[in-house]
Amino acid sequence: MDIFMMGKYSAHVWSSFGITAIVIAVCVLQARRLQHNVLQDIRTRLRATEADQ
Amino acid sequence: MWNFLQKMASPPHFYGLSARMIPWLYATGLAAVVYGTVAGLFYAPVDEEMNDGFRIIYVHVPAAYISMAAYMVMAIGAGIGLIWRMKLAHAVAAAAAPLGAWFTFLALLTGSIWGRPMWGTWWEWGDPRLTSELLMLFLYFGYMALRAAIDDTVKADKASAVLALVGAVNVPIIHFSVEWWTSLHQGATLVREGGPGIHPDMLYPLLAMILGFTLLFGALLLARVRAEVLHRERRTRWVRDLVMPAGEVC
Repeated sequence: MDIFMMGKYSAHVWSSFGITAIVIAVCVLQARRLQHNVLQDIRTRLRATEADQ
Repeated sequence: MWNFLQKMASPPHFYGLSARMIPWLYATGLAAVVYGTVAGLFYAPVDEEMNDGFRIIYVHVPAAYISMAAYMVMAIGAGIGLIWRMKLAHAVAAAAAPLGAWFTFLALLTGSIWGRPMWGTWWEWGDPRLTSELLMLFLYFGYMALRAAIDDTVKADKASAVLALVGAVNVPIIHFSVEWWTSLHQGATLVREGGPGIHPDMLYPLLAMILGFTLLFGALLLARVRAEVLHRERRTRWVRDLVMPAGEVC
């Protein structure tokens, strides 16, 4: 278990890696949600246009 | 060559090609990051001066590198869009900004966490490296705010491109700040005369992390550009056919 302790820098090292993992996960989720929202928006517009015609 | 570039700049072609590239970029990027993390945290030797605290380098340096690379992607995209009026280039610039902001935030935060035990302070306003990196975060925010404030996409592209190009002068300032001025921040570790200044057992995980972050950034950038392209091309036939294939009942 000593290898996980990182001497007296445990909190600094693990928090840095944890924050990095969270930021990358947020970037991935944002990109997916952005694509989903744009597609949804276009579908809604197209349906509204065709309903008007 | 010109034909190849023209084909690449075609939104439908880009949309299809990027869909095939993204899974590979995610997979290879993740593999490199996993290797770099395990090797950096558990197998790289302890640093003589900073002990285990130096291991923050494995996330801080790649994040800082991507923060600057994203700005260059944004500025080059903005420049190409401005000069050659290429819509896809503007889309790339717009997509790079939020990613650049996230990685700049990450570089600042991990740098601050690293600085506390090494320098005895979370932040030093007089330090040129720290303040120029913070300035880049504000440039990203300014770029995004400017785009959001202008409804007309063409006008937003032009105005934000000028800001991106003017702000590009900050990138070399960040890089050379530790050489030009006195700084708490250490000098260049990798790109310097005489080669990298760290042991190969520490170096290879770092290179793997930089490669991994670059590949992940590539995947994230393409994913965001795809959404940007769809939004810009929402009134075109190919997007209509893509979203509502023939025969689908509305």
